[in-house]
Amino acid sequence: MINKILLFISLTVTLLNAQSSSPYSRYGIGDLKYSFSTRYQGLGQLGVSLQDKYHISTINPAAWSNFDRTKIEFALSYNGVIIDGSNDKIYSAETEIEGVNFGFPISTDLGIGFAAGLIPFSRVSYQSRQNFSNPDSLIYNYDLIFEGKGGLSKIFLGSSVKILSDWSVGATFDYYFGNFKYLSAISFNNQTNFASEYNLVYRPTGFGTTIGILSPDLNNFIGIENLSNLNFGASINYFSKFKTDSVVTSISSVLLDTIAQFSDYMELPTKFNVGLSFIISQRYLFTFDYSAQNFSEFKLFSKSSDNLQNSYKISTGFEYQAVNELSTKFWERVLWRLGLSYEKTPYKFSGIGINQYSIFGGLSIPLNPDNLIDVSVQYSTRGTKEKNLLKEDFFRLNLSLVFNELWFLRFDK
Amino acid sequence: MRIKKIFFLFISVTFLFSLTSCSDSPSDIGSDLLNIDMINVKKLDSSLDSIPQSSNSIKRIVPHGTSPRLLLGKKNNYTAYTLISFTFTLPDSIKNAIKNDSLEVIDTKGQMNVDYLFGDKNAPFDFSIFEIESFWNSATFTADSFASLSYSQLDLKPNPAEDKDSVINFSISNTIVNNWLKNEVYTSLARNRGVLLSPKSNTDKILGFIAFDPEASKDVKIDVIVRKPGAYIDTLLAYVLSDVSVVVGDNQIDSNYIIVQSSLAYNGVLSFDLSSLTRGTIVNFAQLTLTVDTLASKFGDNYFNELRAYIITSSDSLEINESSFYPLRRVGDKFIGDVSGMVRYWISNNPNYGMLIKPGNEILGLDKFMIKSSSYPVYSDRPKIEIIYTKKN
Repeated sequence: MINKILLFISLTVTLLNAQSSSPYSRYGIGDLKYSFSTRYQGLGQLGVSLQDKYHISTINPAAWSNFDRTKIEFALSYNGVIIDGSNDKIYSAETEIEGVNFGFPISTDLGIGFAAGLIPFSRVSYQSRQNFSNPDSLIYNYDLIFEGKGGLSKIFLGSSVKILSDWSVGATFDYYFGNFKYLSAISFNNQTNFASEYNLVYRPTGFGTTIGILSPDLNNFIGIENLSNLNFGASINYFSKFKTDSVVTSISSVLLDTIAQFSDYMELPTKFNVGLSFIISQRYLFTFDYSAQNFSEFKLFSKSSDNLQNSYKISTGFEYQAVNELSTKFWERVLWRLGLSYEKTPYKFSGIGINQYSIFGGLSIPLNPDNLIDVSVQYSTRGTKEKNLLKEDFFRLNLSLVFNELWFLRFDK
Repeated sequence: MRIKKIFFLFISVTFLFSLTSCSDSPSDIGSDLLNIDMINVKKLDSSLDSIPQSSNSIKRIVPHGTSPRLLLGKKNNYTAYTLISFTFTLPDSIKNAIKNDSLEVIDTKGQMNVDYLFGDKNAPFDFSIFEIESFWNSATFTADSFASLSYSQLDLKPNPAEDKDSVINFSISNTIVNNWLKNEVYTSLARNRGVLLSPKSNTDKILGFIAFDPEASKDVKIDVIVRKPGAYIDTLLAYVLSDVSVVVGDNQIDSNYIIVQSSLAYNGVLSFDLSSLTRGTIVNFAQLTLTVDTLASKFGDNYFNELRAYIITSSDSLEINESSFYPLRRVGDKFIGDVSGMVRYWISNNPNYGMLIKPGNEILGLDKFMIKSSSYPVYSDRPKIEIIYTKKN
């Protein structure tokens, strides 16, 4: 009961938090979320080829073939951003619940694993307020306010299976839903004029699938000494056309007027992910990943945007474990991570693409041999101050709690 | 237990995260990137933006039964009449005397308290009193009804009225008062349909009197002195049972003016073509300014210096919602008011039949506001509407 109360308080406070501001997220579907798991965050956010028995990969369902426990993963993040404009600089921050995933093995021999979850897919969050003065006494001074919030979320469920030569394949059935709210408002600094508010809301819903493949340890064929877990992975994230309801409302004093209401489609381009990973000397894990999505093909109501471009992300990660998880010494069981990434974001303004450079760090703190607390930190910088654009420096702290339990499992007597 | 501890730790960290989420106040950083959602504050000014407008004056029939003031007199083209019926509260002894036909009225002293003057204070004032022969009802009696009012041509006021500053004294025929007394006992004995107070031809001002008011007891009253021969002399009070006044007359219509006048009653009809404000426009503020010609306007010695604008909801009958109005306050030679709600009504898919301009109190005096109209030669003096609105790109 106490836990429920604490959870409720925590969620409430989280929902009340200030918005983090990135005006770039006004375009497309906002800032993309590449990975749910904090471990993957620490490795540069991708980890397409990782065989992971502790965490639930949301980028490649083929990785679930390694499940040997029932697992539940909660995650949250703290996002802070310093936005540097031509004349000013501001800091804003917010906390987000990143979602929950759970999975369990159905057959460890056949590599059949099942997983489901609710996770964010993209995020829109910005606020801006400009003050204007007007010599006309009937107008006087007023503030122009822009605010955006929302994003796209995904509910998925899927399974993996091992096929020939221990190659694994996996697929998910994804349901996407979202709520993008774009507010433009005028607030007057006198008592007589009523404020104005225009709300543009998009509510897309649709289906998609993620299909992935993961190789067995390819070093079995190559036979390089001290090399293990040489895995190749790839996944494709396909989206159907998302039926999108759009409502434009105006609000003044007591009047709420629906100006326009229509339905059409949002077309999200297919996302491709490939990766390679290997472990050296049973201690040093390296990952190399690439993800691409042609956002120039993104269409909302059959219209593409001049401010979107094809995006891709290249990342590399390194993970170190001093001994192994069976060590009795706490620090020898801790996993340390480092990641780097370069991202060509979907945003483009005045011909200038917004590129993002990130460095990640993280660790897994074992609570016992099965349960972990994962922590990762991220520093990213993106954008430029040229042509009135913005330079943004992100600080992100991710935290997830991973339970690996023997629930739902049957053992032969 | 272990799981609970972990969970508690997780929740605690979540809570800590939440508390540490703080932000600077939103600034204008990035606003250039958000022009996709730009909204603009604009101003529509009928005096600058050449918005078509039209205006005219109309005469409406307004019942005055609820007016706290009775008007009587004559000035220019206006003639104000008052209809009053009186009643008594009689003791049984008086009633018996009336029944026995042993009571006679020996004198009457009427008194009216003046609370309004339209015209010159020293101008002559007198009136006749005629017995009304037809039925009338103060609640429904209007200037239109007056033409069909039947009354005796015999003046029941034997002496000129005494104009004493704020009180008018008059007397009335003993005979008719005697009839009222009889009617009070048995309606079949005599008729009491009240009297018509009609200004005499030499009258050149209109006075206002306090109308029926059981609380203030300053309404019209008549002291009736009666005598029962050989028994007693007594004074009875005739007080108002019902009263109403009507003003008959016309104004010369000049297209350069909107005439707004109480009692008579002239109203202005004013409309602006606001078709440039399309759906989706948010009206933040709207102000109407009317310019009054102070020389052409005529006012009494006290009047309600305010106009009211009403939304016309039906073009045929100029129907309005009486309880919903927009006050226009006097500022110098202007009447200015906030008509935001009115403009919002029009741009919310409701038909724009214009607005009706009425006096602040249209049953209280004869005050005439001459408002410079939509065709007034000086463009800047024409009715002006200024609308501050927001429009999304």
